[in-house]
Amino acid sequence: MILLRVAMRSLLGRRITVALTVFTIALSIALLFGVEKTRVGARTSFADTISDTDLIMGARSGSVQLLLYSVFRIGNATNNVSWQSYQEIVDRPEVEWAVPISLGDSHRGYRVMGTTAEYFDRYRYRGGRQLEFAEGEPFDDLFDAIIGADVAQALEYQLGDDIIVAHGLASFSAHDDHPFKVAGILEKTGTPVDRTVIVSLEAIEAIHVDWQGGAQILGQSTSADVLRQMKLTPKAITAAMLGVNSKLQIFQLQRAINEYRQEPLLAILPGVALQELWEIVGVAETALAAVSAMVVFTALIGMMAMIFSGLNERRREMAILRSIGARPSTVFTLLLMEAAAMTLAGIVFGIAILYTILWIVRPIIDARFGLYLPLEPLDLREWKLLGLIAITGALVSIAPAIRAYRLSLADGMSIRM
Amino acid sequence: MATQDNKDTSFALELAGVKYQWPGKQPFSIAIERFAIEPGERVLLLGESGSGKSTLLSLVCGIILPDSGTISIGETKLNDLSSSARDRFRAENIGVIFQMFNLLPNLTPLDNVLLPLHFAPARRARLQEPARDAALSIMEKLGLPLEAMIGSPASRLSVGQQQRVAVARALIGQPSLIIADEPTSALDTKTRSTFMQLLFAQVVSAGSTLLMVSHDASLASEFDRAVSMSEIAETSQMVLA
Repeated sequence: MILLRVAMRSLLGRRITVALTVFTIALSIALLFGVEKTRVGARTSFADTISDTDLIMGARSGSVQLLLYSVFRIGNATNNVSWQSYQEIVDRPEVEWAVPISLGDSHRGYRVMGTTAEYFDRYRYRGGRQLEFAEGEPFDDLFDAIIGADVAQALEYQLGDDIIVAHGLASFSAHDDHPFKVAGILEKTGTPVDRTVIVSLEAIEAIHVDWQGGAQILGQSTSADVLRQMKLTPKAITAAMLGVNSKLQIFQLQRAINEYRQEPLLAILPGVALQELWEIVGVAETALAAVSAMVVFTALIGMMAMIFSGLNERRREMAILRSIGARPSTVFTLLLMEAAAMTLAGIVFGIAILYTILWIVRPIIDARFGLYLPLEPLDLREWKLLGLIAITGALVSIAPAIRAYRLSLADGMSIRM
Repeated sequence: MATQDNKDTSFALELAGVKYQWPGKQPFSIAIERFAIEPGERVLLLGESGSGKSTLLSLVCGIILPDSGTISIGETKLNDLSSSARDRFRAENIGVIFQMFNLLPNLTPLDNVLLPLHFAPARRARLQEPARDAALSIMEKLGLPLEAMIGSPASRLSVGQQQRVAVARALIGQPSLIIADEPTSALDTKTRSTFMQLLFAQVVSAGSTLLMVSHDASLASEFDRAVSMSEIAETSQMVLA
């Protein structure tokens, strides 16, 4: 134990260089684990975009594509699902609930999605959380629109404001004869819902009554009141979210949809498709993690350089130790202990910095980017990573320790300055 | 303890037929036909710098082994010991005092005195009282202010005090041989005589043998015997162009 005291005292004697070295290691570790936490947070947020939905159904395309346009509102469906097919699927005994969605129109860059009021009950994110209304309520009138938090914030909309839906995603033709009214504003979710204008499925049908082949029939405009009286059954939808009665039936239903004869359809498990999608996005996160790992390694190399540069002035110390019977291997051990102590201090300090910063910025990041970083204790993987860093710290200090061993072997008891 | 020699009387230190040559570009070699010190004897070894004093001390302490000849301390022949066994033997049986910079500057003086006991369990076992008490008592006898020995690092002490702490460290646990390498050269005349008195008193009370190396012949009268390096050793230095 006295050897440990010798090491500690020696470190204390060089407190400024030692503190700087420890601080460098600590910062690099905070960075690495910060990236790691963000990575996991991003991944979880990503996977949390949709939950509690067993299957997503759409026209046959790729599973990632279906996920992208139905959940993330990225890209477009290649085809629609006919209302009749949708009805037949929904009538199957396995189906507990179904929420159809219809995409294709937009409002000032934000996607307009037609759906049923059940969407607000069934759509879940982040482990089962439900959509909540910051203001207003689900649609009541045919021309009511519910907007996501980002839409409301960016366009400064309030309840009762008029919204004109544009036909298509980037077009100059607008459904300006049938303005919608903002009837509800959703709470921020950190999901694509924040950037969506939600209207009823019937409304999507209604604004297209006078349209044919992507353009309005000249001079024809059915009044809103007439539309309200009409039976507006959609001819087709873009996709549908499905829930099954029993989890055991998921694959059964999926197969039934995929083998549906009347129309080429595709059903995907959201979790599986998310995983596939993440593998595509994941390359960037790996690169980021690799860069931060390099930063930690650089800090440890810095420590090695610091030990090396201190060796010469410590030859006196080594000669004294040798004179009182310390073996060259004791000198070696002493240097390893010092390096281990510095690495350990760096780890502890680094983790403290990490959690302090996490604790401060967490609410900001959640509000700003919808990225939820859980403030959880280190998991097994992270502990292992810390262990790896500690071992690496000891390993890089082997080189200066060997040099010290050789010096003390050569110098013996003669004090060389 | 390692190999024992079957001799009737054993010297505290005995070198016989020792030859050693430093490796390197400018080889320095030393040859000592015979040099022995009786137990309890206080010997002054006089020599100018470059006379091979440091090499002799490294040989005696077992840091280096002679190319030929034998070095014995008490009944132990250093030649027969492995490098790590010599380190252990040195820890147990030899106390070393350097010219200056004797202490680990960041440790307290007390920890400096206790440090050799960590490498020498037999020396620790020889203590009559707990190690800390033994260290403090010997430091007190050397006239050191005890409050300064415990709290602050050794680097705060004056050079004279540091040298006395070095004496305490060399003497704790009563090793049989004390080697002092010009311990007074950094001290002024007054401090020097006090230091010598204290050193002698403690060496006598510990029953140790003292070998002190110096270039200062005026010290000779205080020792049992003074030997000059040139009397016992032949050195040669081949200077390469």
